[in-house]
Amino acid sequence: MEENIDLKTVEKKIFKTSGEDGILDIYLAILFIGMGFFGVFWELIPLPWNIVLLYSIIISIAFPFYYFAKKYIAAPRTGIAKISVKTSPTSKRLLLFLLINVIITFIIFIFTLIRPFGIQTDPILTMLVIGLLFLTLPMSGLAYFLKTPRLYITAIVMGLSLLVSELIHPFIDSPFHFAIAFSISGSIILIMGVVVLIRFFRKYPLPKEE
Amino acid sequence: MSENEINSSEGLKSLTDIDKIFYAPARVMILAYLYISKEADFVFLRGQTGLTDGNLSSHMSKLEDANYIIVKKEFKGKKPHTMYKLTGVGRNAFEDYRKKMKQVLDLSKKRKKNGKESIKNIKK
Repeated sequence: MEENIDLKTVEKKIFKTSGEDGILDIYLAILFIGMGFFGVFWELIPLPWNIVLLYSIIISIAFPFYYFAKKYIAAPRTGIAKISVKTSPTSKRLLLFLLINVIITFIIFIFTLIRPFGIQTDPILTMLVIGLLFLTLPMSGLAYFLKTPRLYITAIVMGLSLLVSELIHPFIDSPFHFAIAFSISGSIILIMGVVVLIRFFRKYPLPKEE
Repeated sequence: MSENEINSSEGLKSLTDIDKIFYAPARVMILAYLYISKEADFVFLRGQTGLTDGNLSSHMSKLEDANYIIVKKEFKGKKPHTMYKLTGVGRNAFEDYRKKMKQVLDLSKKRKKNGKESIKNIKK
């Protein structure tokens, strides 16, 4: 039995346990692959049906998967610990980080829409910067706060997907280049998630009841 | 009375003031987990602390008797499910315990440092 009562260590252990199941990875992979296909539907299906389709993917597949997997796979094995912003300093910092990220993303989004000073940029460089800022940075923050180093790889894979889509664009017509690039990245994340989930099953077999 | 003796008696007083509930390291650990999380269930605490079912139940009963935790028992299907939550009293007691332990540890560090300096002076 460990007797370390350092609260930071305790908090770290709680977050680490919640990240050991790989469910978040699979959830992100579903979202990411869905987003890739959303790019296809955006041009093939008229508004607002393309948006309805994206939300249908998220609401009917990704969210239920995350909820039910946490409830029926993770909770019986590792138990439930509800973290609150009031009791956990890391949760507070994570919330603040995500809030700042949303604000920065919104500002950058506005800038790309209005293109102030008539700035023209290289599309490959633009995709790289957007990928790093919109995907890699927030995901790295999540990895840092959730104490899950694996998510750094997810962050890089996600961030590079936009660059890959731009690089394959000369060979693959729009909008399928998005779907292919996002599917490749999503598949990598999905495989990582499934491997982690299998390890989780081995490490945490169903315990005997209370 | 020298400064060292005064500090020492204050440190000992902090130690004797500590609630008996905290004498068991397992209970301290359980309270630390409940302090960080809003609420946690039996399976989670068992997995994190490495205690056996009987041990954990016994410690939980003591914490409940001291009014440090709230126990919420329910059934999920046919399976029993127990959630634990730290009360305001428990939260304050845990903070108080940490404060007292910090005082004692700080004092001990200070004394250790003074001792090393004295040895250095003697050697000189």
